Amino acid sequence: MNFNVFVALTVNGLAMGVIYALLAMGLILLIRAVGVMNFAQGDLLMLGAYITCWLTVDLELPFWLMVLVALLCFAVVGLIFMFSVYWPLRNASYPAATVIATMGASMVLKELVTLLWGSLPRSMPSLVRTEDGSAAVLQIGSINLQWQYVLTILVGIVIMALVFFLFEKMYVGKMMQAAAQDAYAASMLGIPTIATIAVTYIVVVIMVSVGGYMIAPIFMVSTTLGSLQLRAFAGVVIGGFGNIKGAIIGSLLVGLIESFSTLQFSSYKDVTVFMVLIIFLLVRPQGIFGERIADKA
Amino acid sequence: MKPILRLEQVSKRFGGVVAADDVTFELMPGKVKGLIGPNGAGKSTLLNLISGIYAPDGGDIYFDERKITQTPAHKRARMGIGRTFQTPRFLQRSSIRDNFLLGTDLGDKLGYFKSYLGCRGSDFDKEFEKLLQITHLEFDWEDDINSLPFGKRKLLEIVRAMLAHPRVMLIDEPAAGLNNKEGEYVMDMIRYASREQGIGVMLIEHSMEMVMNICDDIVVLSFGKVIAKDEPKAIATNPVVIEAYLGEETDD
Repeated sequence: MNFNVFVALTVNGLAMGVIYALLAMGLILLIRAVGVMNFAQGDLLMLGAYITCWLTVDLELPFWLMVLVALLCFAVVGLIFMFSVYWPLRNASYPAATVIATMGASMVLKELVTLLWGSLPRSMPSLVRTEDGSAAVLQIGSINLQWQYVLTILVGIVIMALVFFLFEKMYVGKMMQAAAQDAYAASMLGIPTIATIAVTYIVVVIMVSVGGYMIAPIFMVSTTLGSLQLRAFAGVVIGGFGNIKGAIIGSLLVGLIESFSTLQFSSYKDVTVFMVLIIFLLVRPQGIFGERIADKA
Repeated sequence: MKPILRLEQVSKRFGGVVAADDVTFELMPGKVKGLIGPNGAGKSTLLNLISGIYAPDGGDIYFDERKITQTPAHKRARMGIGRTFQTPRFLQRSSIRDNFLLGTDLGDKLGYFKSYLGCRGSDFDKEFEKLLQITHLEFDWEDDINSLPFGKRKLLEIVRAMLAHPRVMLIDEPAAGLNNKEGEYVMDMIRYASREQGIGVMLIEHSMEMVMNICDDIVVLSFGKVIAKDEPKAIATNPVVIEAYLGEETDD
């Protein structure tokens, strides 16, 4: 393998890894806040891709207006998702109800976008284009990199840093942590749980939707985008369940493994990713950063 | 003077268990009301009803003459109902500073929109000094909350609740797990809260010494029912109370 190929594969792998990491980080945030594994995570990403595609291609909004309207849409989607999929079931006698509801939501979202925008995959222009409209290439020496991949990495890192800052460094993040850890004690400090949960849902939907926007020009915009969440699940398990740092590193690893496996056996890249997952489950089921349940007790 | 807290025929059932049965009493500002009773009598349930974690099945709760029966818990906290727990409940994996920032902005009328920015009152430092003096606490702001021993965390939780300027404090078993000295500090603190700050205190405590020492009057609960309401001396000799604690003589 020559150096140019190595760099290109690394960048591609990191770009995909960043997308998985956005999904995975959102999963962990939701698990922490409401204790629900969200099986519609990939479908929220898909919805984000469809919404931005609609705003960009159909409505032809200028970039900054598109960003503004899209963020607003994502926030509304987050609230609708929370109040329809989670909130009515939060006191259900079977805790699994809230999880199963997300599986239902996954189907609803796929059907919804098909109803709204048809079943044919839609194409989305790259963020940086050449004059004839095709994806622009970043040339560093003899290395050719797709701008879209490079931007995906940058945007993903910025978003993850912002979310980390929000949760770990800002006062509102401390309030959200407090409500997630102990709703009763938090309410005694005057923290309304409903508000902190709503903010969590909004943040998560924005994160994954931006991921959908970045990935849309690379793949087509179609309902199959939803299945990206499988890789995020793998990343979460490899990194160590419940741990944000682990989820991010695990997801980046999945992206890289996927990318480099195309070199040897391109049609088996899914197999490679899930082989690694299986090996982890056998050898180190607690993941890279996870504690074993037995050690915790 | 008007009562700061009033319960009127408050009832709560969990399935077939009656945790609160027609409970009626009132708490005056600046007074300490003891809440005692055998295990499972419904003492903590009552505090949870007052703080708003449970909604009563019947009856009404008034705070400062305003009906709060349906008010959500976080709003009651902001109105001035403070609560500490048998086991202190802090934000885990966080510094003492972060825990304090979370708890001490309740008095602010602008509510949580302002508190999102982390604002707090200007008299914070002076007041804080005073409270630390009473509780003999010393610590480093940046230390993890769990680096403090249990007893100190318990005292700290009371300090935090006090800094939010409550008008009613619900204190759940403050002496449990504390050494004698720390128990003394708790009593000093409760005296300071009630006598000097005019806070109405509801105290659940198993240490009879503390209850007899500090309470102005006592409510005795048994199976969710108020079986006696009186001043400490009278409670100590009340036959109904003694029977509830020691049990009635039966043949089986």
